[in-house]
Amino acid sequence: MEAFPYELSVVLWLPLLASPIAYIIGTASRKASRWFAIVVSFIDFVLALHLGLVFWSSGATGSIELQFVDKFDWIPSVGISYYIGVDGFSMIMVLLSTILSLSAVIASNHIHDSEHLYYALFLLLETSLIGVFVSFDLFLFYIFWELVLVPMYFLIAVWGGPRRKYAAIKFFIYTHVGSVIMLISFFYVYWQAIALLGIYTFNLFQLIKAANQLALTVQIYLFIALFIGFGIKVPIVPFHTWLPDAHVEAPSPISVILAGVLLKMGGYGILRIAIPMFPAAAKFLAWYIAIIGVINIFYAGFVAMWQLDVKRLIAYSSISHMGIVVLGSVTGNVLGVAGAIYMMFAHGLVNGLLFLLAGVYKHHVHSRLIPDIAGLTEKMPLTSAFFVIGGFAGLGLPGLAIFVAEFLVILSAISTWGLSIAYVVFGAVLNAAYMLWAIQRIVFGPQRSEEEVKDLCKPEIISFSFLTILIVLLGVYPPILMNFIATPATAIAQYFLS
Amino acid sequence: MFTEYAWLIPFVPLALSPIALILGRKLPKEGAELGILGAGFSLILALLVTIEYITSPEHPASISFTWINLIQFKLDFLIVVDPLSIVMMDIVGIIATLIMIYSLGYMHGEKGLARYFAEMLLFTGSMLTIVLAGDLLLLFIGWELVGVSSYLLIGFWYTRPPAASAAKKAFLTTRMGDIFMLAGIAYLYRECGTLKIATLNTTAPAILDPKLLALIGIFLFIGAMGKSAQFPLMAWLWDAMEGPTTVSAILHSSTMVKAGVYLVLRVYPIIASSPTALQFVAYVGAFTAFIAATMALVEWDIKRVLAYSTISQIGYMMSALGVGGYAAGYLHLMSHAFFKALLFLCAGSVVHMMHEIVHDPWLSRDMRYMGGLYRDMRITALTMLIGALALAGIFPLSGFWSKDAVIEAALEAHDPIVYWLLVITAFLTAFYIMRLWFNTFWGELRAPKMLKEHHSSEHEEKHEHVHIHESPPVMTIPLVILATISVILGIIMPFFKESFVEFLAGYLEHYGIHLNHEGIAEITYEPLWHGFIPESIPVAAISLLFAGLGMWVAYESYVTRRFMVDRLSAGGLGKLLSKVLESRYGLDGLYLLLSEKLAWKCISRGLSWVDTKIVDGIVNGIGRSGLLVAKISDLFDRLGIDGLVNAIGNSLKWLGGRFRRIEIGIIEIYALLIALGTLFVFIYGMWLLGYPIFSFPFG
Amino acid sequence: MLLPEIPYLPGIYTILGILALGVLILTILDRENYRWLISVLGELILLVTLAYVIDLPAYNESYIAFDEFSRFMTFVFIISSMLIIMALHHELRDVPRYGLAVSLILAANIGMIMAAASLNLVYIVVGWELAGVSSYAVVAVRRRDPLAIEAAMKFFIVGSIGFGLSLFGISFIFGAVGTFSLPDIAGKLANSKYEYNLLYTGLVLLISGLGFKMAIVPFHVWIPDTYDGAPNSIASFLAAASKSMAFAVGLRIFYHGLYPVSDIWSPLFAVLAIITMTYANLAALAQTKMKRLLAWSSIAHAGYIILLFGAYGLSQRLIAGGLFHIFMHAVMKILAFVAAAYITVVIGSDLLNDYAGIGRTQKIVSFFLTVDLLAMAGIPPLGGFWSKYLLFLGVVETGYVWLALIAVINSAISLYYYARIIKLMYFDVGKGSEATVAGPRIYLVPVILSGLLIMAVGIYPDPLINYLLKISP
Repeated sequence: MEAFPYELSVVLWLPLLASPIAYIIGTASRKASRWFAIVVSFIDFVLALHLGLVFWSSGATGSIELQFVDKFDWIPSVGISYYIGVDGFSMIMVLLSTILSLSAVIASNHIHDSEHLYYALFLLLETSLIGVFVSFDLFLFYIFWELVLVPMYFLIAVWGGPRRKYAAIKFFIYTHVGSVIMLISFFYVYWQAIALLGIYTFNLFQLIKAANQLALTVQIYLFIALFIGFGIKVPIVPFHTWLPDAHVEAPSPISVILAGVLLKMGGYGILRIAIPMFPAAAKFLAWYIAIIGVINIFYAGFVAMWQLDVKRLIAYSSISHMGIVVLGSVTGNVLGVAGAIYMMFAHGLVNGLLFLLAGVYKHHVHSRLIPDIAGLTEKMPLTSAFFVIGGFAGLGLPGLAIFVAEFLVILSAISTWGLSIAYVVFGAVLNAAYMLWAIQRIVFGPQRSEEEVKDLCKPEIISFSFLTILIVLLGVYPPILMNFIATPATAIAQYFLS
Repeated sequence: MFTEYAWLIPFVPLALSPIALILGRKLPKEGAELGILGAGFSLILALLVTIEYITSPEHPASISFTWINLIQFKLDFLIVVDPLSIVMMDIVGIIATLIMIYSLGYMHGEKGLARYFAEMLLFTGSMLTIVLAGDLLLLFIGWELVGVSSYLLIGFWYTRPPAASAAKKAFLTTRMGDIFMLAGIAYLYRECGTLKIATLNTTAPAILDPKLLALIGIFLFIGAMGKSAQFPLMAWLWDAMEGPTTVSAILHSSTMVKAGVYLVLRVYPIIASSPTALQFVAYVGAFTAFIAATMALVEWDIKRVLAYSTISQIGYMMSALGVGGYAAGYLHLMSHAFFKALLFLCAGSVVHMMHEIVHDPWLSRDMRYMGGLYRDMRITALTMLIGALALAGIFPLSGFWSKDAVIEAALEAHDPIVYWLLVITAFLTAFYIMRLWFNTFWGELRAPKMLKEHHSSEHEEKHEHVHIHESPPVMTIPLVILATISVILGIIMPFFKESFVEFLAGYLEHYGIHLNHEGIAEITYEPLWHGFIPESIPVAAISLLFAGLGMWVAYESYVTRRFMVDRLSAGGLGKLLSKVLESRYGLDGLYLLLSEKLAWKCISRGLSWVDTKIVDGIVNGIGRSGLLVAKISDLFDRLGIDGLVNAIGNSLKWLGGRFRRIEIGIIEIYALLIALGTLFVFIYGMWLLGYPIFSFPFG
Repeated sequence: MLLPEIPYLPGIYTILGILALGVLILTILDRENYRWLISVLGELILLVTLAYVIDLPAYNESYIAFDEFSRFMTFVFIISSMLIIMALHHELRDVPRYGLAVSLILAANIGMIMAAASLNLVYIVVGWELAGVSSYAVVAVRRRDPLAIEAAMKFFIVGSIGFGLSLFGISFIFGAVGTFSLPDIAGKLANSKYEYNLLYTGLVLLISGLGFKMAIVPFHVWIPDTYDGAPNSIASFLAAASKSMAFAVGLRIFYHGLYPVSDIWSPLFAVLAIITMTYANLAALAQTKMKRLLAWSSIAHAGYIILLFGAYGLSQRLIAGGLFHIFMHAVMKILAFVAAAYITVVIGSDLLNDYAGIGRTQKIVSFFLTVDLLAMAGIPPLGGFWSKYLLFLGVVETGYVWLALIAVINSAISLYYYARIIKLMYFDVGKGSEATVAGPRIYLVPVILSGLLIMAVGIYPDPLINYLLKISP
């Protein structure tokens, strides 16, 4: 099997090109733009999948080289080039983005006002997300990184819940501040690269080469800057408060993208850019960052326990899971890094599913508060079933995706720091506690009989089962993902050994 | 030839489970077929593997499969067929199959049968995974799956709040243990770089320092404590009765609670290499055995009594392992599996009957409403009697031998504390189990009278003419089978004990632990306290004596009523004592305190307050202040300049368009500002350059 | 040289001559009903000039130089004027002396080109004042409108005070070095033959004077009122052309004349830059009227541009970035003001809150305005971003990292008020939502042209950057 020329570029730009079309045909007929968007993101998914298969079958999983590289000079005078490609890590993130975009767009059937604009923005969002994961020119990366903000901001601000304005602006300010901090340290490195290598370049690998030569203290400052920049996206406590609001106010499909892909940008950045650029600093700060991760796990876990709004609960649970990602990425051994990456993917699927379910409750029961949606198991058996599966996946049940990641991260964290971090395992109990308690209050308990409530409709069943199957598959047979992860993870872990 | 396919033993039930869930509804018996098929398949294959293994023992046959492959690191799944696993998988297979069949009758007409059988299959499959797991990863996976399937089964009647909370409690309590086990596993990995149990068993004791070994051993054992409800992680088990009786039966006899014991058996070399860990195991076991038995003394819920007895019997096994009675522990596990399953199924058929009388899930389990069932439920009564005697450890039933072996081991280890605790527990056991049997089957049916007393009259007419009858054969046949097994096991045990011990010895030899002909491992064990043990008197005599005593007391107090037990608990110390026992030493309260009050009401609530008020507050504050600065600077600009200008401008527009005046107005302001601006630059420059600009005249 | 040489008007005089001719013709044909003719003629004249600007060979005399720098500045002036006249044509339809307005713009161009091209302070001052006078007049062209007159008067007085100050400063400088020619000044300063105190005083006064035209805090006070009062296209002319002229003059004086004493003036400019951009960005956050907001944003941009002087040092990228940003700023401001004019016509108000919903009714103009706002905020990949980027890069190159940092943070802040407008236009409902009737089409021409220019430069800035790098010493 062979990839077509520029297939990656096609995957990247297709949604963007489609977005104005979606807008235009949307003005003619609302349904049309929905179907158009579905078709486009489906094609994009298929193409990405094809790339993935090619990637797998061509044995590229074994090599650290980028695949499907498209590289042109864009603005040589300042060393900016159009440089996209994928290694295993990027590949799975692209797959994740396309998968979630597809299921989110399918599940957008509750969006009814000015759909054409919605779908146009959605497609724009998809492109920018993919772009973040495939661009290896830091400038390009930054452009996509910023580009994500724009559609996301509007998608929250227009189609969101009652406090959407507040949530949107909060999201915008937080992430924008984060990216400015990030950008500054990018430019510092860029500048150093000019001094050290004598060339103007934004090529990630060149910059990494340059950055590695910096003095430790400088590295530490820059690493912290990058870490904050990415950490706001992750999010790390205490920069996390944008997330619950954004999640709660955003329409569910968008929460899916938020939790599923947007948060991953942070982890991706840390693993792809921060650590390789400043390995010495990473090694130096590893322990403190690990502590931050642990704080995330516990803090968010406890806060989640108190929430009454399902979406808020899930939002905090994803903060807690992201803590595991942060912890894993600095353990400095392959298990941890691989676990972190695996978690990014698995969490994307699981929380995606959960947010979609929250959306279903919102739409069918007109509330997301646990007391209001309790005792509807007999009315909505499928919803409840999916919710239970999602919940169990969330609490790291073996056989479901997240367990693999959790296990690996805990294993490597303990094998790196021993008893001094062993208490992290209590996080598992905490997760179980709030998840089970949510399940108990929502699914179990005396049933309500009075009002009439519909269960899932076709498109929802399709996209939910799709996600569920993936979750189970990844839980039972990790090699599917591990083959992609192994090599990059090893490479990243190497930075800690050097 | 079958051994290569041993992995199918756990795999088939696991694989059938989702199928049963999805297709079950469509099948004539709502998935029961699949349930029986799955369990049966595992049983048959297990037996075949066993036979093959015994005829041609390869030590140990293992099947491996790479699950996680990160170039330098590999995590493999390992299925091992060795003495440990084959015995256990047969037990599990047999009991699972029987209970699946029994469920056909017992669960007949329940809603969501497909779900039930799917969950049962998951339960069986995951237990078999634990049994056959050759590496800690796979074992842990099975471990967690057992946890979740028990959660689902306990919460099977999801509409009942007690069931729901019991399920949650079970899962969380066991998970509390699991994470310790996980930490232990991770630690082993850190130290030995592998999760293969066989390797760990040999290397870990060799290379680790004793402190660490003790730590890891205890961590692993805490995991076991969680699953097999040892003190203090025991409170979930008696609530777990909210599930169907069949679930309790399988859970108590072979799957969940036995997983803990099995884990200790598996990693015994690691635990055994640290005296501290052994002491921990032994004392926790013995203590649990004792207090659980005491709880059973005052319990009226028939199923709960059995639950306590399970905890207490597991305590026996644990303490046996602690003091080195490896074979004893395993034997007791085996025999207990059968008679406990039997007891539960009997209880099930009783409850089934009672439910028709009292129409209430809780009352139907209350022994105060029972009595005199013997007349019409002979099979149940007799089989249950066999089970009871086995539990009480009466010659020649299976319980007798295994319990003896356990106490024997305690004796060999010269640990008076363990010894006496176990012996006294033997007495208590005999008492409460016979109390249960007498109250259930002896005397008159008390239900109508009790209902009259405690409930409104509307019940009565329903209860007048219920004729008590034996349960259907589909339920009684398994009883008979199990009873026969207990009896036969009892009869053959003395003879096959030898070979069994050799069997295990052969296995343990690999790890440098020698098992003597009594099945007692030669390990270093120091009792905490050296006190009196009747070395001279044979253990059999002692235990029989105590057991007999217990039975006699029970007889006197519940049949002849010569002992006034009620009066004992009526006042004074007895009352206090019974209160303490009924409240189960306040363990439930403790859990409530820790979970609800502390974790939820305090920490969680507090942190979310912090989150919304402080963390968010700060951020918003910063935002607002930023905007404030903007406002101020704009305000300054407006009021300072534009405001003034426009004010003048407007006022003069009123006078009529004489604009020269306006400019005058503006000029003043502007000239002022210009002067100021220039001056500013000037002064700033001076300061910046840091030396006087004019040498003359005012330099 | 492809175009025919014009006798007696060599080099730059060709351009000036053509423009002067244009002024003459337009003043003559200044009739109510010739408006179309006037506009077209004006454009044609500018076009011819542009042709000559591109075509003329560079040369350098002692007092006036048509080097690549002045070629580029001239190019900027003329492009801006061309764009503005299109808007002017409609906006001043009610003005009887329309021809006068156009000819004034041409006259202003003469002045600006002179100022930009001279190597001699006297010539610079003359050009500057010529430009100044004509722009005062053009602001006042709508004689019936009190606001316009008020603005004109403010502008006039402030402008002349500023001019006076700088004249004063120049004379001080002359006193210090005894020559008006920039190269000589440079030479003198280089081997420090000068009266320090006089020079310093002169510098301060000159900077203050330039400060007015450049609109940097604290000499910005007149800007919001004037921009608010003047017709949009005129305001855009002030923001685009005459401001650029100020920067050009600054570049000439400080880079050709006073660079040996950069240690005196560059710190002054540095601090002025910081104050300007910070103050302006903060003030802009709280604006409610579009034109005032644009005024503040242009002040903020002045703040960025004077980094040219604040971060003086040997860096091609600094100068290139500066020129680039001057150009981009001119184009962006024209687009913004003209679009604002269009929208004002459509919704009959200049309040930002009335822009609510315009995005759905007036698609084209709001699209280009959005692009423009994003460009001003410096969102990649748009023209505004690259210019800013190159400028800041230059600042870093000359070693003023902290200055660049402040600038970056500032432009990050600026995004908020620009984004607010976009949000209003597309995602709120208000007066704009009812404004369905199309506005004057002619406004769209400059809007679309400059919008396309911004986008084109944004997508592929490389040639322009290379050109600028080539011309910047």
